[in-house]
Amino acid sequence: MKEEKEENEMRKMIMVIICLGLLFSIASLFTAGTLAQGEDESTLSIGMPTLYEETFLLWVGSPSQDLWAMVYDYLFYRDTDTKDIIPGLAKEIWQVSEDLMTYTIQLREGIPWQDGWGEVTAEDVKYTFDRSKKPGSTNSEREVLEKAIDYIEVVDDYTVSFHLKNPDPKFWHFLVADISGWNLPIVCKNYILEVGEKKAGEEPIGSGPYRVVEHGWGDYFKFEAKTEHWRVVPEFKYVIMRVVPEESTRVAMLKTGALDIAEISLRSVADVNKTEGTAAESWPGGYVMYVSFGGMLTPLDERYEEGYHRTDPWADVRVREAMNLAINREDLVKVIYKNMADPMPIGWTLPGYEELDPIPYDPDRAKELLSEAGYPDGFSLTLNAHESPPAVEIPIVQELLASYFGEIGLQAKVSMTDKAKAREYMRAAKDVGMLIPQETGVRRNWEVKFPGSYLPGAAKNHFQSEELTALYNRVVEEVDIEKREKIWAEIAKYNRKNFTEIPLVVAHPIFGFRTDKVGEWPKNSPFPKYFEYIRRAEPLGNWRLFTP
Amino acid sequence: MRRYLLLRLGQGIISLLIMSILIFFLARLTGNPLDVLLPENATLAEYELMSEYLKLDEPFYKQYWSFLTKAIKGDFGDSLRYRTPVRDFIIRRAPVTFGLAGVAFLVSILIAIPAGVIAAFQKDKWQDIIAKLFAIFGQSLPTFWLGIMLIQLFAVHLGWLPAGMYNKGIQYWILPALSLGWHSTAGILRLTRSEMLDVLSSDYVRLAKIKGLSTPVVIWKHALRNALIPVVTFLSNIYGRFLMGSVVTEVVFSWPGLGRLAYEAIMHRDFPMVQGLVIIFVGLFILINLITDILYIYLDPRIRYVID
Repeated sequence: MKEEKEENEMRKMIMVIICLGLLFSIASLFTAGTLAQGEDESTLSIGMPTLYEETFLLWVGSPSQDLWAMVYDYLFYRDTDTKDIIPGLAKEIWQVSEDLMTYTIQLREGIPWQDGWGEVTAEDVKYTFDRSKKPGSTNSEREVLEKAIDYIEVVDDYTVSFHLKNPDPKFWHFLVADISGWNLPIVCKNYILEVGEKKAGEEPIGSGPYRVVEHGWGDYFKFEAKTEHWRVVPEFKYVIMRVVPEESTRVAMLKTGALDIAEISLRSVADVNKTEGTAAESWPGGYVMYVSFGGMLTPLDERYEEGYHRTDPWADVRVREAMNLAINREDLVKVIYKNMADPMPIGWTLPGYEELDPIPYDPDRAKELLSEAGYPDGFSLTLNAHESPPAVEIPIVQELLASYFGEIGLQAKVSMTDKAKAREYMRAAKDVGMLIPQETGVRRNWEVKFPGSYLPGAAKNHFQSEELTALYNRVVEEVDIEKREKIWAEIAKYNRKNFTEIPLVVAHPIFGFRTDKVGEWPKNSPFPKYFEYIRRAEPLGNWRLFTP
Repeated sequence: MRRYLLLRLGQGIISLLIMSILIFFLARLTGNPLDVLLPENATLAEYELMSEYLKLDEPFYKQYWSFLTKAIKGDFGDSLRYRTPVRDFIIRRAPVTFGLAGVAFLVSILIAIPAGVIAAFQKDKWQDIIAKLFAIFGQSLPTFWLGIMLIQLFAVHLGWLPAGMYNKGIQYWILPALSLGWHSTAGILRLTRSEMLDVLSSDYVRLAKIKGLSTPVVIWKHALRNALIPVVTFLSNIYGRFLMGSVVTEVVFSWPGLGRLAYEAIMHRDFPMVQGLVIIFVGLFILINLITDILYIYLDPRIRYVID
C-alpha cells in the first residue's frame, strides 16, 4: 500500500515536471519577440553583421552611426558629390575666432523633435556634447572630447559656442557627420532628462527623417519615415536593419529577397553578381590594409627594453624596403580584391599620399638589399593573421605575403589568432619578430589618430622614431591650416622613404543589393551610409529632397 | 528518497560553484577585453583609466568575490560592451533559445523513438536501412555546414523555406530545428534501435508473445519501457546540448537567442556576459540531470529499491 502510494506520488511529480517543461517551451514561443512582416515594396531591409549596440544613446563609436543617422541629425554633413562640408542643423558654416579657441554655430530655427518635444536648440547641442564628455560617460571618444573642449556656451536659443582648451584649426571634425568617428548627432535634452537615459536609449526621440517603431533585441530595428522633414522625406517608408552575423546567410537572404541590401565581403562578390536580380558594388573610401613591423619601439616609450626591441632585421631600413619591394600590389588588387581596391604607397591616407611614388615590385632588388643588410640567406619571421571585418581577407593576404617573402629567401610562418590577441601583442610590446596586419579607416582627423600608431605612449603604435615625433609636434603647434597640411605631407614623405610599414591597398567596402528594389544611392563614405537618401529602382513618387 | 534528492541538489550546487570559478579564470586567460573595447588610438593611460572604471585592475580573487556575491542574487554585472545589466540580455533572449531547443527536442523524440522502434522491428529491411542512413548522416555532418547547406537547398534553390531570420511562422522554425536536432535525433534513433533489439530478444518478451499478446502491445507497452531506460539518460543530455549547441544554429540562421549572445560575447571578450551565460547553461544542465535522475527512478524500480 505504502509502495503504491509512493509510486503514485512519484508519477504525479513526473507528470507535473514534464507538463511544466512543455509549457515552458511553448510559452517561449509566445513571449519571444517577432518581426512584423514589413517586406513589401515600401520597405527596405538591410542586413549587417552586427548592430554594434542597441541603444540610441551613444556609446560605442562610429559604427553605430548607421543607426543614429536614421533618427538624429548632425550639425554639418559632407556633400556627396563635391565632398564639401554643408550645413545640417546649423544654418551656415561655423565661425571660428582668430585664436582658434572658439567655434560658434548658428542653428536653423524651427526644426522639430518628433512627437511634440519642441525644437532643436542650442541647449540640445550643449547637452549632447556635455553628456558625452563628462566623467563616467561611456562614450568611447570621451577622452578625446574632454581633451579638446573646455566648456560649451549657450549664447542664445539658436547660437552655441565651443570654447577649446587649445587652439585647434580642425575642431570642426567633431561637428561634421563624417568618417572620423567622433561626430555626434544632436539629442533632445528635455526628453532624456524627463524619461531617463535608459528609456531614451531604447525609445529615442530624434529630429532625423526616421523614427524607431519596432525593436527586436539582438535582432533588428524597424524605422518609419516621417511624412515631413526639413532635409529629406525618404522614398522607403520603412527601413529594417537586421543582424545577420553569418555572411553566407546574408547572401542567401539577399538572393531570396528577404534582404534588399547586405554587407558582404570579397568572397561573395562573384556569387552575388552572377545571381539574377542582385549585384555587388563597392563603396569609395573604405579601409586601408597594411602590415606593421613588430618591435619598433624607441627608448622614448616606457615599454622599451634594451636588447629586446629594435633587434629584428627590419630595424634596418634596407630590410624594410626589401620586404616592401617583394610584394606585387597590382596582382594583390586584381586577384584578392577583384579590382575593388587601390595600391597604397604608405599605410595611411595622409595629405599628399596620392602624390607619392608607388612602391614597385622588384624581388631582385629586394634580394640585393637583404644581402647588403647582412641577410643573404634571409631570416625567419611570423606573420600574424586574424579576421577583422570588413577585412576578412587578411588570412589569405598573409599567406600570399608569406609566399612573396619566400621568393626573396625569408621564411615566414603564418600564425592565426583573433584581432584582440593581435592588439594585445602590440599593447604589451610583445610583437617582436612579428608582422601584424592592420586595417584602418580612411581618416581625416590625423591630429587625433596619428599618435595612436606612431607616437610613444599609445597602445597600438607600430613605428616610432624621434623624427616622426618631432614632425608631429610641429603639426599640433601650427595653427595655420595650410601649413599644417604641408607638414602632414612631409610626414607622408618620411613614411614612404623610411618604409615605416608594409602598405598594401585601400580597399573598398562592398554591398550586395537587389537591383529590382534599390535604385540611386549616394555614396560618400562608409559612415553614415545615408540610407535615407536611397531611391527605389522604380520611384514611388513620395521622395522629396530639400536643399539646406 | 528525500535525502537522496537533497544530496543530488547539494552536489549540483557544488558543481555550479566549481564551474563558476573555472569560467571566471578561463575567460580571463583569453586576454584583456579592453583590447576589443577601446578604440585603436587609445593610449596606455586610457587603458589604465578604463581598467580602473571597469574594476579590471583589481586582483582576481576580489573580482571573483564581487562576481559571486552578486551572481547569487541573480546579478551578473554589466556587460562590458553594452554597459547594461547582463541579466536583462539573458531574460530577453532566453525565450528564443528555449523555444528552439524545445521544438528541436520534441521533434527529435517524435521522429527518433518511433523510427528506432520500427527499425529494430524491421531489422535489415528497407525501413532499417533508411533509418541507419539517416543516423549516419546525422552524426557525421557538422551542424554549421548542415545549416548552411539546408539554407542553400531549401531556401535559395527550391525557394520552399526562408533562408534565415527569427519569426513565429512555422516555416521559419523548420530548418533551424532540423539543423539543431538532426545530430541528436540520429543518436536517439540508434540507441533506441539498439536497445529494442536487445529487449526484443529477451525471455519476457518471448513469453508475452507466447501468451498471445498483440505485437503492438508487446512492443509499445512491454519492450519499449525497458528499452527507454538508457534512452532517457541520453535524452536528458540532449536538451542541455540543444541549449549549448544553439550557438552555431542561431548564428547561421540569425536567431537572437542566448547562443548568439554567447558567440558575440566571446568575440568581444565581454567577460560578465560570458560568465553569466555559462552559469545559466551549467545551472540548467545540472537541473536537467536532476530531473533525469527522478525520471530514472520512476522508470527503473530497481534503482528505487537501492535508494530506499
